Amino acid sequence: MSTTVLTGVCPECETDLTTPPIVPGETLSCPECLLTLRVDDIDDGRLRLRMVEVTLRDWGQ
Amino acid sequence: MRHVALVADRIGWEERRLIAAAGAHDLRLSWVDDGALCLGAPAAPALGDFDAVMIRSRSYTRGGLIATAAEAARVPVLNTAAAIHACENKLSLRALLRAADLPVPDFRLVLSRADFAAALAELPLPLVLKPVFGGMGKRVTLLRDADTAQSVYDYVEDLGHGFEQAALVEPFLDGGSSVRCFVAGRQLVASASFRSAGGDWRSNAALGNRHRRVAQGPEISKIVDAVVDVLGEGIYGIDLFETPDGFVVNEVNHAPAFRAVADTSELDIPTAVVRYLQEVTS
Ligand SMILES: Nc1ncnc2c1ncn2[C@@H]1O[C@H](COP(=O)(O)OP(=O)(O)OP(=O)(O)O)[C@@H](O)[C@H]1O
Ligand SMILES: [Zn+2]
Repeated sequence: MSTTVLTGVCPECETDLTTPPIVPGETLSCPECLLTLRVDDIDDGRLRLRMVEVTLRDWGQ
Repeated sequence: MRHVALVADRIGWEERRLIAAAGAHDLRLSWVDDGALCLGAPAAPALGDFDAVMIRSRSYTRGGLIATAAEAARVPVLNTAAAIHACENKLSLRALLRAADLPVPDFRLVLSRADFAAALAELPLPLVLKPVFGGMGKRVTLLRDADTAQSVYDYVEDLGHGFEQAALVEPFLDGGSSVRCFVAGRQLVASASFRSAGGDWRSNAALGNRHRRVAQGPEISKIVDAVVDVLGEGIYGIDLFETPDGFVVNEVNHAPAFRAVADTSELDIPTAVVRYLQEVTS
């Protein structure tokens, strides 16, 4: 695949997004609504994004 | 080539490095969404492609349940369900460690205001109040005065639901450096000592803000070894507190972060983890 830029839409605020190469599982912050979005899948240069939590009560590291 | 599932809610700094290290050492490590496995079918078809599962869910709930279901389907899992369940509950862990004669901080289990009052009467201030189930340093509260302590408990009673009200009260071990040990298998891969700095008295990684130096020594190795004897081999972040009488084990993390200790180690942490995964799957 020669695409170096991937595109998608924020599922929360519908802003068009472009990202450098990224793989499923990685997260990014929507520049418009600031929510954390996870790449669930990439299909032909199009990102499928999902909003994910940034912290929950049962998290530990 | 062996194929291991990296089960997590996302790929963060640590997971990215683990995947890269696996690639460099002839192991395939693939991200699998911890919220999309739908386990339960006897042979765990969702995990059919994998020789083993490494759990990196930030959530204890998800990690423990996925490990239980995967083990039931006879898929090798790191960490084991038993280890994750021990780590998710600060009381269970301390009880286990204490039973094995490991040094842990003194504590009182607080389930009610009556327990809270009794703990305050038994242990001298300053004290620390922390949730039995909780992580990332959240809600860990330093109690310096008896008069504010009661108001703090108002919030526990008022805003805590069910299991969130279960708490420990323990002495504030203010000699104050904490030591984070990163373990893969049985091996102590890295250890560093932290001191809080700036605006927060807590020094855990999730809250930032601390000073750091390398920590080593036979006492640390001995404790780490004994903790692994109790929990079984695995990938752990073991937190120790330094006290005038030696180290005590504060807690153990089941999917430990390692960014903060990475540059204090002569060993490469992701490579050490990958070597351990190879050992487990060979
Ligand atoms: N008894 C104590 N005495 C002194 N400091 C403490 C005590 N308990 C906790 N702390 C401080 O608060 C931080 C968070 O506490 P603790 O590790 O018990 O909670 P946690 O929510 O499980 O954190 P994490 O998941 O980040 O390890 C510790 O790293 C330490 O700096
Ligand atoms: Zn958005």
